[in-house]
Amino acid sequence: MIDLSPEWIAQAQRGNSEAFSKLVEACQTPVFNLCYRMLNDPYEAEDAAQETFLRAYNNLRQYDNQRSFLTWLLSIAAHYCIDQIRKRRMNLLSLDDAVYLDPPDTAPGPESTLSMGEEQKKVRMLLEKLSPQDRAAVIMLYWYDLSYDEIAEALSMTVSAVKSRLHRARQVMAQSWSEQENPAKTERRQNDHAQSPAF
Amino acid sequence: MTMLNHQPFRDWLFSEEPLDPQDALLLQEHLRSCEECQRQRQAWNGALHFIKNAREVSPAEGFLNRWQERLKAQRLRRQHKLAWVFFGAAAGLAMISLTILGWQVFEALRAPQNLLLFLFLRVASYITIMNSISDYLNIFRALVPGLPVAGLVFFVGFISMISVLWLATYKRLSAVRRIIE
Repeated sequence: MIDLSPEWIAQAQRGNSEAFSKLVEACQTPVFNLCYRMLNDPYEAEDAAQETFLRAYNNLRQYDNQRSFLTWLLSIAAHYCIDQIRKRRMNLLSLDDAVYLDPPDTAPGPESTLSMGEEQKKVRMLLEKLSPQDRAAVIMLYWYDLSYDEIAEALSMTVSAVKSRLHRARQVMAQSWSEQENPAKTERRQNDHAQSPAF
Repeated sequence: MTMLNHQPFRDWLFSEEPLDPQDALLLQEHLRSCEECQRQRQAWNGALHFIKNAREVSPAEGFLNRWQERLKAQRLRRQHKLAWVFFGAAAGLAMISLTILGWQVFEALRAPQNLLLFLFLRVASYITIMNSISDYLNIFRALVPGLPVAGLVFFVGFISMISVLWLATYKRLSAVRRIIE
């Protein structure tokens, strides 16, 4: 977990944009990482991370100093990404015949530093079968060590709902991991299960 | 072994709640005999280890600068929006005022004799007032050389009182009267 000076937060709340810039500098990687893991696209992740900081800046007065600032930011980012995934699905459903997509911005983008290595592909495959809320809960738990209470607060759900979602997510990820590691065996096992009356 | 027999063990495998010793023993025994659950456990352990060791992805260099630019653009957009709102409100008020004025002009032009009569009477009353002031000034000019200082003060006071009385009378007479039957 990164260490944020409460003084920066207090100054930012008093309207000091320099202090908020320090917070952006300190929190950019966790926020971008969450957005990237959620959206699987560096351009969308960049956009989502920037939007997260804008929303945080505009609503800084609503921030409760008793909570962790990073958890608050991650909560904003997760909600924004969940909305984006929903919109993306809606667009896929309603714009099947769209033939033109806006070309990506030519400004220096995240692709320059982000190489889609083997590790990224594996993480992507592990997370992609999860629902947006399950994905956000998994990222908050395993990347940022947030407690169940913090995840529940960040995702606006109950602690038991978080536990249940994480339980389900672990099963899905174990299944995805098996498929990645042993694709042939998994296929054979699935066929066996399909023929067995017990499954 | 059926899916039903596996279920409690699957729940334990994917739960992060600590198991009581008896359940932990049962799970160990089950895992020794069940290949499918062993596979599931290995798969989850592999996935968990991988996730915990996956590195964080950082944004491209200059994220802060790009964010500051975006903040600036957002502020500019808000200012433009605010300016448009004020402009719209002012234009709306101007339109309402023009409509009222236009309506009044239209009404006046529909019956021009009333307007002309009103203007004529107003000009006549101004001329009358100017003539009265001129008469008072002539009397004053003729009297001033022969009057002592005390008489002059008395005269000015008298004229002032008369003026106030005249103004009050004029106001009272020119006010709209209520007709009592």
